[in-house]
Order: sequence, then C-alpha cells, then structure tokens
Amino acid sequence: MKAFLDTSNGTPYCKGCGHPHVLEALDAALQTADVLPHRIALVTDIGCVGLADAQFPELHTVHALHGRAAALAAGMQLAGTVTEDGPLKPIVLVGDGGATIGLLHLVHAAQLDVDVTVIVHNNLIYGMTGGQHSGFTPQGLRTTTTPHGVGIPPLDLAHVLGGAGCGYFARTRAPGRDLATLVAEGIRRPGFACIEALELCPTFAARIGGVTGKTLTAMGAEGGLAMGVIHDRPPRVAPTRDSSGVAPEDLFGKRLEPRPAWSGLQETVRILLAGRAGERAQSAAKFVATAAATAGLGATLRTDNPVTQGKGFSLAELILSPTQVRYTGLEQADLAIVTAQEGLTQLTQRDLLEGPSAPRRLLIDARLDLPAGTRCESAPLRERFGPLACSLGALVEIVHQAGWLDDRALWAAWKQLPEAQQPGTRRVLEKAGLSAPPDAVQRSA
Amino acid sequence: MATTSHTASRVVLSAGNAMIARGAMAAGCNFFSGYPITPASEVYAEMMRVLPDRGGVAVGAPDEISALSYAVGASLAGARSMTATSGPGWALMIETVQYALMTETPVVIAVSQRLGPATGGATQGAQGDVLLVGHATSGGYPIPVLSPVDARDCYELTIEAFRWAERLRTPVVLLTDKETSKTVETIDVDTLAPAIVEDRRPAAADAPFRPYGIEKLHDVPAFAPVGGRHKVTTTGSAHDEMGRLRKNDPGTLRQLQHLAAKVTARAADLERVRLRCEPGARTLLVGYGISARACRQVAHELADSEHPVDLLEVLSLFPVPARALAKAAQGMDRVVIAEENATGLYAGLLKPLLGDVDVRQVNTLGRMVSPTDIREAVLA
Repeated sequence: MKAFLDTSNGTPYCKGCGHPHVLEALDAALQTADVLPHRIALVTDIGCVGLADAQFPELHTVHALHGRAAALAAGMQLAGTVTEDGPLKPIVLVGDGGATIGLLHLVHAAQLDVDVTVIVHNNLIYGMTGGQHSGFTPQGLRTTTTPHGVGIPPLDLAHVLGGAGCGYFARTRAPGRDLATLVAEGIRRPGFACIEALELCPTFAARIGGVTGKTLTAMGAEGGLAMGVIHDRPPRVAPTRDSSGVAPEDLFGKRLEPRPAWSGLQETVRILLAGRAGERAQSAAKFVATAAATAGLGATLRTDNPVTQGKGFSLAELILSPTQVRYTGLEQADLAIVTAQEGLTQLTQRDLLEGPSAPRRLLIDARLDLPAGTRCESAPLRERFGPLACSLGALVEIVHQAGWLDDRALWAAWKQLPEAQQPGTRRVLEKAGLSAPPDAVQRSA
Repeated sequence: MATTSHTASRVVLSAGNAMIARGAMAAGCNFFSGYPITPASEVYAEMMRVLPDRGGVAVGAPDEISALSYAVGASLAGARSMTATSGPGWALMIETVQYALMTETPVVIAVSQRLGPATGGATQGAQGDVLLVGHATSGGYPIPVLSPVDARDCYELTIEAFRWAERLRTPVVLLTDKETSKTVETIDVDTLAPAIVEDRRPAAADAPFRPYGIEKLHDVPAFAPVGGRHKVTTTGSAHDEMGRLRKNDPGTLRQLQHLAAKVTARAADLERVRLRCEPGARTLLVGYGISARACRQVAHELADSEHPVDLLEVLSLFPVPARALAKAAQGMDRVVIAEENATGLYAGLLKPLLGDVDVRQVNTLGRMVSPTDIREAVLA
C-alpha cells in the first residue's frame, strides 16, 4: 500500500516525542481505509501537532486556529450535502492544549455525531509555548506554570464526550501496539470518533515534570483513566424534519396586492401603543400594519419590550403613511393608546406624556390614573374588549372611524391570521364597529 | 401571479432580519450556522426554518466561535456560507474572521448592532460597533462592510455581500442595527433588484494548482475546494503561494500585501451610496443605517424650504467611499454626519477627507437620531 506519511526529510519533532508515533499509526490506518485520498482532509490544530501538515504531502491539509480544528472540520463535513464533491472525511489532529481551549467543539461534534475523526495528542502539557499545564495535566505534575504541581484533577475526555453521546472513544499510549487499529476503526466509522493518545513531551513534561513512560502507564492504572475502547455506540440516524411549507421558488411567501381605494389616509399618522407584555399590543399593531399594507399604505412597526419579553411593558410604534415611511421613530405620537399600568409607567419614565413629545391625542384605559394635568381621554378599554384584545379593539375602532382603513382592508388582514385566531378576532373587530366580513374578501383570500 | 388592474406592485410586511435571510437565499447561500443573540436571532431562525427545504444546510452552533468556524469550514469545502450575530458575538468571532481573511475564504457575516459595550442593552439600538467591525483585523487588512438603511437594502445588500465575498474570496460584513433589522415595514417586492449570483473563480482542472497563486498583487487566486482533485494546502499562519507556513520570506510578505491590495484596488467598485440632490443645497447630510432615515425625513421636509439639503446615504462603510463622499461634498458649506453613538465613530473617519468644510456631528446614545437633532445641526 502507498504510504501517506513522508519522513524523507525527517520530522520537526524532538527526539523522544510521541507525535511521530501517532503520525505513523495514522499512516498505517489510512493505508487500510476505504476512502479516496482526495476525500480526506487533514485538519491540524495549533502547536507542535500542527507541523504534521507538511508530513502528508498528498492529502488536503487545513491548519486551523488554536482549538478550532474540530469546528472547522465539522463545518466542512456538514457541508457535504451541498458541495459538488459530497461529504468529506476530515481527520483532526489536536493536542491536549487545543482540546482544552476547544473542548466545546469536541463536545458539539460528538453531539452532532458528525463524521469527523479526532486524534488527541495528549502529551500532558503545552509544548510549543514552553511547557505550561493544560486541562489534561495530571494532578501533582510540575510544569512551567505549576512549580508546586497541578492542584486540580485532569479532564477525562472519555467522560466528557461520553456525556455528549460520543459514538466512539478509545484511549491508548503512543507508541502503542493498538494505536493504528484504533485510529483505523475511528476512520472506518461513519460518525464521530475520538482517539486519545497519551504520549511524552521529552523537552518539557520529561525535563520539568519528570514524566516517563511509566508515568503514562500509571495514568491508566492508578490515575483512573480507562484505556482501550471506552465508548462504542452505533451511529445515530438524523431525525427527519417537517417541511417549513415555504416553496423554494417563492422566498416571500404570501404577498399582498395593494388596493389604495381601501384607505382614506391623507397624511402620515404616528400611533403609539403602550401595554403589558403578553397582552398583544404588538400583535394589534402588526394586524393594523398588515391591513395598511393591503390598502397600499407605507407602514412601519417598531417595538420595544424588556429582555424577558413575557413580563413588564410592551410598546409598539406604528406609522402609517400614504407614501413609504422615511423615519421609523416616533418623535411625537398623533395617537397614543395606553391599556395597562406597565405601559403608562414606561411612557412616564421616558417623558413621553408631557412637553414636546406629548401625544396629540391620548386614550387611556379607564382604570389607569394619570398624573394631574395630563390631557387625555379615558375609556373602559379593558372592560369592553378584555385584556388580550383591548389594544386591538381600541386601535381598530379609531383607524376605522377615522377612515384611515376601511372594512375591506381590515377584513383582508383578518384573513391573513391563522384560522384558530379568526373567530375570536372577528368578535373584536365587530365590537370595534366593523360590519360582518364580506364574502368577497373571504373568497379572494 | 396575476396583478390587479389598479396597481402593478405587490408588498410584503417584513423586518430587516427576514429580508437578510431571503437575500442570502436569493444569493445562493446553502450553508448557515447560527447562535442566538438579540437583535439578530430572526436571521438564524428563518434560515433554520427555510434553508433545508431549499436543499441547504442550517445548523445551530454552541457558541459564536463555532458558528463562524462551521461557516468557514463549509466554505473551504465549497459551500456558500453565512452566519449572523450582534456586537458581543462579533467580539468572539474576530479571530475566526481573521482566519477567513488569511485563508481567503468567502463568508458573509450579518452583524446587527445593539447598545454596548459588553452585554450593553440587548433590546436597545446603537451604531457603536462600526469601528470594531471595520477595524477588526491585526494589521488593518480591509474587510468590505455593507450597511443597509431599510428592509429593502437588507435584501439587496445581502446579495451584494455574497457577490463580493465570492468575487474577492474574503469575509464580508453586512452591518445593520436593531432598528433596521427588527423594525417591520412594507416592501414592494416587485421592485427589488434581481439577484445576481456570482461564484468564486474555480481553478483550472488540468493545470498545476497553486492555492494562493497570483500574478498581480491584487489578483484573486483561483479556488479549489478541500475534497476536490486539486491538493489544497491552507493555513491561518503566514504562508507562501502554495499555502505553506513560512516566516518572513519575500513571497510570504507579498501574500500579506496581496490581502490588502485585492480589496483596496477595487475600492471604487465597492463604493455603494445613495445621493439625493436638491437645487441650491449648501448642506450635505451624511448618514448610514438607521440614522440615514432621520436624514431622509429632514431632506424631504427641507426640500422646498430656504435651506434645502443634499443627502448621502452610505451603504458601503468600508472601504470608506472616499470618491463618492468627495463628489457629494463638493461645493457644500456644511456637512452634517449623523450616527447613533456617543462620539461620532464613523464621522472621525470622514472628517479628514472633507477638507476645511464645516462639519457638524449629530450623535445620540441610547436612542435613535431624530429629525429634530438633524434639523438643529442644519439650521444652527
């Protein structure tokens, strides 16, 4: 079989380093693998392990950012269904440092069960940067950055990835008789596989920490790290998904055919709804914006609410205009409708009820108390329409009475609602003064 | 579809975020990876909902670093890929953005700004990330940044972003803001510019392949996917034209210079502005993103007044459209630059280009720039 590993010019690795042994095992595994060489992507992480690229001159090599090799490889593999050449077989070479900083990428790749084989070169320390401890350094080991020994336990990658549904995980030593076989099995499998090779860094782990081959053996026997094949689960089948219902040829879905005759609006009107989160003030504004769009008006809807979205205030700024709306903000509302205390408090705090920002017309629910001196109209909005429909009822009544939108526009918006919402909304619209929905509108929609 | 007799147009009611997703799909985007963040989350949700039905791949990532890494990996394999985020997520992506730049990997990143720094205000608008986006690379290597003013632009400029990403083999940012990306508005879809889809230039099948081979400094190297018949060598480290990791040899330094040259040599082509002129105008309004809409309002109001103004809406923020700016500012007594950040971040870049004209900045923090703010700067 053809060798992929080229050491004709030697390797860049120190005498006694474990990396060349892993590369030899990888080479042996590749020679038995049933995959075309140009379908393999060797994705290397930062560190001494990253110098392996040049040793495999026939393979695609991608040298990644520190820790990100597995994420890059996962992206390449996931794209397999949309690229000309089909799914790739990425093989990730990463050190214990890269596995530390990029741990979440390994976890997510295991969760996805993406067809990526990761070989973790665990030599217990960061080598290229001078022998610092990593997340995988055994407790007690002296390193450049832990002169009195590491004080915390090392990560057990088999446990971490096992908890993420890892399909295949094996741990051995490099050099080790079973290494090539384990790597070959990882590559053979159609899902995620991780092989951790415990190895020696003679320059730092050995010199500073006194690590020897016996130390590596002891990590398994006394250190509690299981060796050999630890996880071996059948590849998962991706769940089927429901169609979104959006036809590929139509990005815009349902379009509205504007009928300018349905609106009598002559000038831009700016409307502010202020209510309580969850009481559909923003939905009411969206409903009227839809009606405005069917009537050929320009409309914008800007919303604001606390980050939790389900509690506190809810604001909607709705602008309707005979032309396209230029500015989407509300310096002064022509009409403000306040349906709940949370909305009122918000407007007060923002100084929107007095001074130059005071609405030209202010309608508030009868149960709310305004600061003395504020000009407003008061009406039993909540009592009349109920808490969930008071914004819609009050807004529709006004835009309808003013002639900004006629019955046809509002019923057309009603037809856009999901069927389950139509009966309830119909009662609100009729209470707000609309006559029954015309059959013509029902048929055409 | 039939149109009615009294109108030729059809409208949708849509937020900018949904228009970004549609623009991406119209541009042939077939890979999206995302991570939730206000105010960009709707791009992610829309791509997850619709892209698979169109034969594409959409995947949720466990963080923004993964999201962009997936997109870059996919692009290396030949996909047309994208992600979307806001300022905090962009901060996490900056290293991977530079990787895409260094490896000359096309990818589009939509960034919807919110109030910062740090977590800032998730549901509050801002235009505070403009320099963080425009100057994200060590060494100052340019990344094209496009910035929509309204929901229509969100669609059209996303398509444009993909064109430039593919043509130049570079990351391209679509920089928007909470107000532009989340505000819903009516859009006449029949008048949207038709999508022009552009592909990265493929390497010749039968010729030897040099992954970063160029003749002139500003050339864009031909692309071969990882997984294809050409052997690809790529790295985020400094490299020669074969993609081999190298230190300071002349060929490697030339590759670095090339990264800048391929964008700056096309700066004139990359300029995107909308200039509205009024007879007799002596003041120029300059705005981008949401702040340009306050400018629109004032330009409209003052059109028939004693103080008509011209309006330059900047749609390509980086490279800074110096030619268009110089042309628009010619003969003006005053230039008013509006943006929603405390100090005038972008104005600081434009001022040195404007000579000794009277420059007035309009800046707001925590609220939109209003027409009143601009009117005062025009009439003061």
